[in-house]
Amino acid sequence: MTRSSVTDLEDDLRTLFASQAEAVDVAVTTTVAAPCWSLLPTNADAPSGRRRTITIAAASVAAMFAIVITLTTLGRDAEPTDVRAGEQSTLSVSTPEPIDPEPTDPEMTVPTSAVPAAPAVDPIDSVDEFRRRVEDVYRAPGARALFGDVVIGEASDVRTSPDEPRGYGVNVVAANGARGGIATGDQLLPLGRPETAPGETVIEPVALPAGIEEGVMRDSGRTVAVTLRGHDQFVTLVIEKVDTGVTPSMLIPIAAAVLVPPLPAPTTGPGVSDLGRFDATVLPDGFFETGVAETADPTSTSVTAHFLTGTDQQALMTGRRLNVTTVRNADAAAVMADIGGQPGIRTLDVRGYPALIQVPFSPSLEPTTALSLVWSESPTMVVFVNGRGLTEVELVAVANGLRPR
Amino acid sequence: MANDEAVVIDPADCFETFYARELTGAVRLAALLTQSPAAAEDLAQDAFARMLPRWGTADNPAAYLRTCVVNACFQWQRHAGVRRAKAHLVAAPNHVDFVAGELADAVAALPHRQRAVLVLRYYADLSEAEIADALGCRPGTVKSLAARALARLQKEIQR
Repeated sequence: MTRSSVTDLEDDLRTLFASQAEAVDVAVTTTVAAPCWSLLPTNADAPSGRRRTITIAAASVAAMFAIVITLTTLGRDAEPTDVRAGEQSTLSVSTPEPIDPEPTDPEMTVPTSAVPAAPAVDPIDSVDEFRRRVEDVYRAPGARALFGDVVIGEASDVRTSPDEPRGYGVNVVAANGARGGIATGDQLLPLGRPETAPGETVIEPVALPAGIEEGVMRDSGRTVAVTLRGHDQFVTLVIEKVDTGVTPSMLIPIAAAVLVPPLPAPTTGPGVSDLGRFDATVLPDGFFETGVAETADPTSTSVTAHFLTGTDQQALMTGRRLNVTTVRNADAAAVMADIGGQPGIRTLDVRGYPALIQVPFSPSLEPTTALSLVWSESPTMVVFVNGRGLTEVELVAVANGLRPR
Repeated sequence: MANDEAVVIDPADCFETFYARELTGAVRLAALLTQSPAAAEDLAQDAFARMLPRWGTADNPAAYLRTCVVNACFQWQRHAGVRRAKAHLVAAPNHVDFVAGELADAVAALPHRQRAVLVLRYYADLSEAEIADALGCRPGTVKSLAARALARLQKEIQR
């Protein structure tokens, strides 16, 4: 590196930082406080040991791509077996090619308690039930975003005799004509092996959807696949990669939904859109609404948040802000248990329901740590209320004032 | 917050005055350190909150605030994995990202201590001693971090 190049680089850095700093003014006026991180587990609360995170970004993938499903093993002899039903041929992934592993995050540390508890789910015990679940999965918004309108082939029982473990398979054709399918059964390798095969990556527990106990994903270069186990059954989903950006982790929520169907959307209680109906009289002086954000993931979890902040000098100085976030289709009991197990959390009542609040908090109006409150009024809905520069009395008053539409 | 040595802190300054004067700089510094404008305001607020109980005891409030911002940003970086893992549980706040570019991307990819040294040197215009004070390390470490960061940027850009 020559002196002049260093000087040039230094000048470029000064210019870059100056321009980025200028841009922050715009960002600050449109941004709001993070909704509820302070209630969620942190590294400080986590047990020792590093874990890897797997980002599930299925909803962001716009391209159609081929789907090809195979059974790696459905029989007790653990031999690869093609899905026999349907009109489309299948791709075998029984001998996956080596691939680059998913990027790891050495900073990732999450307590095992973050893994949601498994709700009770009936096993798949017939071809009809299997076909119905596959249809439901592909009709879900997350799967439709990935695959479009799929054509589902004839589902079949792949057993050669009634004495063999259950096993069902079906081929699927994506909207762009690409082949695909999905399979499930009592036995599917490679799960349960002490070590993974080349190209396989064990899915960390934190990345597994509720009800899924373990999983392996593979990227063979031409195909990506995921195999999951939950409720003593397995599911394997293999995708032919005809577009870039498709990773096995994108398949996790879709494959999991076959074994553990998503919880139904709540019909009562404060909902996502219900947050637009605050009783304004419960808000502390100086607050006003600054925006709404909404997200959805492939398992139909959707979120909306309203952000409120102070306007006067005192509110500005103390950074008085208020966020309300709802999480739909979350396993509310698991979320509450997860948060409740963290240090510095105590309980109280909100709207007649058990709630958790983060402590310590400021008994007077001081800009100390953020206050966070969470409660649930249905098995599939969690409400977070976060305040900064608020007293507990104010925060709870706001929470109690939230009214379902 | 940049060039804080040129700012005369009036002992009679109240915290509100200090806050009003330093807030923008603190938010900008946090944004550059984390490369996340969305998180910067919260981190700056946290830094002010940590400082308030000690107001009046710090010889150089601006430097104290800067250290609080740097520490808050480091802590934020350490929890990045947890936030990503829980991202599907919460709403995505509206935010504006920095404009991507060859150098910007390379800076964003730097380890956060290396990036912090560059930001404090080339944005805040701090001396090595001041950077070392903010990072809680020796000036020699600052030199080393800066050299490695520049070399890495140079390599990335020439690639």
